[in-house]
Amino acid sequence: MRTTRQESVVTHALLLVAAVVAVYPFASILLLALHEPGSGTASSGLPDGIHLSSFSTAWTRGGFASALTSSAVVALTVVVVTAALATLAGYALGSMRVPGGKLIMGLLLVGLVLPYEVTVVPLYELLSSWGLVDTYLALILPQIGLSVPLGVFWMRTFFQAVPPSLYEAARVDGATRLQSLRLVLLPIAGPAIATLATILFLFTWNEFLLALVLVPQNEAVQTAPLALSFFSGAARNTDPAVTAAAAVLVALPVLVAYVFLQRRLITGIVSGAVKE
Amino acid sequence: MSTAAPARAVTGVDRPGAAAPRRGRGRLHGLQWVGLAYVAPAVAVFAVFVLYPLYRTFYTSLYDYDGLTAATWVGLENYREVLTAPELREALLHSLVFLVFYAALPVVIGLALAGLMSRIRVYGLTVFRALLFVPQILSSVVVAVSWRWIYDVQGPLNDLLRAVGLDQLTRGWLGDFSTALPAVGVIGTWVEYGLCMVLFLAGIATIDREQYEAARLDGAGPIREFVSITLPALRPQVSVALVLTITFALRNFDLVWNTTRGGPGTSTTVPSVFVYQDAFQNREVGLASALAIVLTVVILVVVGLVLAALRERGTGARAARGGARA
Amino acid sequence: MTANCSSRSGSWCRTPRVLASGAVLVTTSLALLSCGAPGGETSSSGPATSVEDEITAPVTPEQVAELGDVTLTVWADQAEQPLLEQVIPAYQEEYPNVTVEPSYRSFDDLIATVVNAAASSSPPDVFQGNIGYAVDGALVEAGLVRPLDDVASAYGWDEAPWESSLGPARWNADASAFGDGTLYGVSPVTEIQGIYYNQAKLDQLGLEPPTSLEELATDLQVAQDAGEQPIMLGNADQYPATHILSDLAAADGDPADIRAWIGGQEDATFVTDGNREAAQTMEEWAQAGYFGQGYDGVSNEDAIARFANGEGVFFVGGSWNGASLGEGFGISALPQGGSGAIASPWHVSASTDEVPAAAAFLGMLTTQESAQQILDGGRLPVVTEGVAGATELEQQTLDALEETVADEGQVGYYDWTTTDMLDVMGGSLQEVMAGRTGVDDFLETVQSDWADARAER
Repeated sequence: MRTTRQESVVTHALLLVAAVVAVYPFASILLLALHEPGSGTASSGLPDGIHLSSFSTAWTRGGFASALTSSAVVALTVVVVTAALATLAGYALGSMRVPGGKLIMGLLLVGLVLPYEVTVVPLYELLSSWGLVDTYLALILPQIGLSVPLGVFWMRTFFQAVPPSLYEAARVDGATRLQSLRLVLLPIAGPAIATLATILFLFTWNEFLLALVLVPQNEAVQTAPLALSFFSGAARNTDPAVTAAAAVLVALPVLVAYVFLQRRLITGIVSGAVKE
Repeated sequence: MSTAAPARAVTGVDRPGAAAPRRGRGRLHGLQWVGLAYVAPAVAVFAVFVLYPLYRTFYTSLYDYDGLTAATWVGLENYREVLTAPELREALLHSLVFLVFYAALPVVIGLALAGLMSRIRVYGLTVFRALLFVPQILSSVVVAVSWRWIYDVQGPLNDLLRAVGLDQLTRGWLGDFSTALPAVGVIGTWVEYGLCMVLFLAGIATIDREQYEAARLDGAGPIREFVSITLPALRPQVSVALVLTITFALRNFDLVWNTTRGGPGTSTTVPSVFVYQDAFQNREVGLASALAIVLTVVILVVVGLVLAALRERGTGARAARGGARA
Repeated sequence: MTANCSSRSGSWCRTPRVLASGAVLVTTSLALLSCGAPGGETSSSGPATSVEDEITAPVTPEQVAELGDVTLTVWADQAEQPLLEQVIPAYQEEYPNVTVEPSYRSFDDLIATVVNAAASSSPPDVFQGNIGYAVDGALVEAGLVRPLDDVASAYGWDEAPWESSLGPARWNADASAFGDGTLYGVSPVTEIQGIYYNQAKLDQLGLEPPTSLEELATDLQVAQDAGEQPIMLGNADQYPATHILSDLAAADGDPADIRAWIGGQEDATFVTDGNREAAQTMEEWAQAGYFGQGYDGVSNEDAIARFANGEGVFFVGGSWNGASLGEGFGISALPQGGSGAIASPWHVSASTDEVPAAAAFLGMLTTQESAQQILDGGRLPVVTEGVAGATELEQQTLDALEETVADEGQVGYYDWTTTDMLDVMGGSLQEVMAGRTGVDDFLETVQSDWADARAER
């Protein structure tokens, strides 16, 4: 692969600019969080040394230990279950002629684009009648439902792109569909599933409105964005350092998860996953 | 053999569940009922927790309901109100402007970035990728707070303008009637371009390297390579990216709410702000439901149009490629 | 090898069809189950007007002890946290059988969720609401809050200084208007509007603290000429400018008229000379640059922070802003107090089992001790007797409050009058100040929104 050095330099420069632009707002929040608590206005100046006390203040005042655990429980469950359901459904819709497939995709599309702010109210009533309000399930089940459209859409796209010869090869030894799915196709689907998992984890982690309405009282179940919201309003500007620290605390796990999951993606690219 | 079914499925047809044209005769048994078993669990959860509340929302939209006391039937009255209110039409217009910023621009930027990164060996790829994805990771409250600062009269953007001598352009960007909407739009672009890039990189991962070699041997330059190999291969990912970003553009709530609340005046209102206000602030749940249904329909129409447009141009190339590879 | 249904054994083939029809069945039955009109399950008979267990005297620890070991769940705005962190231990000491479980939320989150919580199967016993139709009105109409007149006479809230302040927490029989009627809430915290000034800058400009809005108007020009930003304003949330507008209107107009309009009384109108002049003044001041540049992009919190840091000569706004100001700032009361009123009222759930404990809790919030703690926390207490400010600014604010109450000047806030008045008036006023809309259009817009909302009630 011959590319000129010039091309490489230009590309790296552009990437650098894009990366700086992407990171600048977060960087300024991080800088702010490193100030001491109560240091006044949201100045963009550099802190006079690294103070981690804002983080500890935010941690205790916002109850982040419990909030982050809750967020993790909910997000991981939703991601794992949705990925499984979406892979199965995507496989079927992407490689078979499923009766009513058109209808199903149409319904899923509706679910994907739906502004769910208002469906939150009937959702509350439904969960309330089942006695599930204020439990983990109140957050997990609806979010699986809301993530399924994207998951199915994504996995179906993937399975559609798999060359027919591969399907054929997998079935040649009389393997059942499930076996061929598990043994042959899943390994190739690794990168696609990893990307899906990342995106789903992110959406679920940052979900705020559902948590606000469906878990109104049980503080053990309340998630990180709720804990962050606590700092909005008056506290935001009387103590911007602590608010910034809280924001960083909420963002950190997803960043870590992303970096971790993205390594899998790279290995996929480097090894040239889809070969004939 | 059952390979006929998968072959049809990979002809790059992206319209949801489109039935591929039948080949051969009498494939009445081509429908694979076992597929339903695979699909059922996902659809079941979806039906109970998304479709059912949606149905209830539609039901509620026919009533005048305050969320607490018994509702009164009003039929299509809410819809009439929604469709004739001038402020809602203005809000829809703003949403359409957001389409450019939240969807079109990020897809273009994402394609450019992914294209660049696919060609060369990038030093520090992991780091770049992590950094470029950061906007998606931050919660919208955080995004709003940091961008409000950036756009502030005393903030970094104005500092930058002053530093390059463009003093006359400085202003409170989010508080100015003429710049508030594009300013919020730019935030949306910033949030979405990393997501697009990630999606496209995943797609590029599945492109066979040999194709690039072949093209290069034929003397193709970078642009040619991009247009004839990368772009067509990314069609499915572009579809997904467009669906996601268009949906985000048309139904976005938190970003607008946390930056401008729809102000100044009504210059950045979007329909979802009215949905929230009606449902949670004014206690007009029926009206909010009607508006949400109308918004869903609008989004479906726009997304449908875009997907249809993408489908038209693609059907031939895929089959040819699939054949060439065998 | 084919997936052809007919070539498989019967039962396996039937499964997908069974699943499919099963799904349809489940969905249909769910749909049928939901066939009632929304909200039909909440059998509410309207506002609660009578109580079974009347409180006739301040609650004693013995009465509370009779309840046994109980928990009192309390929902509060996070702004109350400093106060409650002092009151709750004292309360639990006096009533040892009660464990208080407080739950704090940001103001926006509280507004969005408190009504649903109150209507749920396990509502909090004591919670804060918000004056106006959206929250308190909904709570009262659905019978979710207990009338507090008995508690009021037991604890003396039906006398001065409470009596004039608690008006906004009173609702009429069908919860269609507030200001008069049965008492449903109490707030020990109140607010006034005032003109904050930067003493050092006034000295520099050779000005005295303004005692009226006319004086302020001339001072503004002096400040402008000297190159200072006359008024520091952060109007991104759209309400601060409406407060200044109402201060201007209340100064010239008749408080009773304004209260009548806010309370939704028939024949009241927003299209008055007072309001017109006030709007015109806002437009002139904005066009003259008295509010600086880009104020619509600055939040109120940022504005007060900048003012505290020495930007701007004046800050016209509510007394809650005073908490951010340190030395070197003063406040001038507005004649007739301008707008202002009690803060978020505390309610008792209509279905609580711990009425004496709840009443005692409210009682403890309204003592002189609590009043001092409120003042120390940077807010204004309703009870001013025996309360002293630790700083000059605090004392000034306290004096201003007493003046205002004596003048019966607290008219309340314009945005109480309909659920979306803040957006309507706030947005429209921004347009007026930016010169995009005329004053008369503004008055019309506000009045028609008011009339529409009233008609629906």
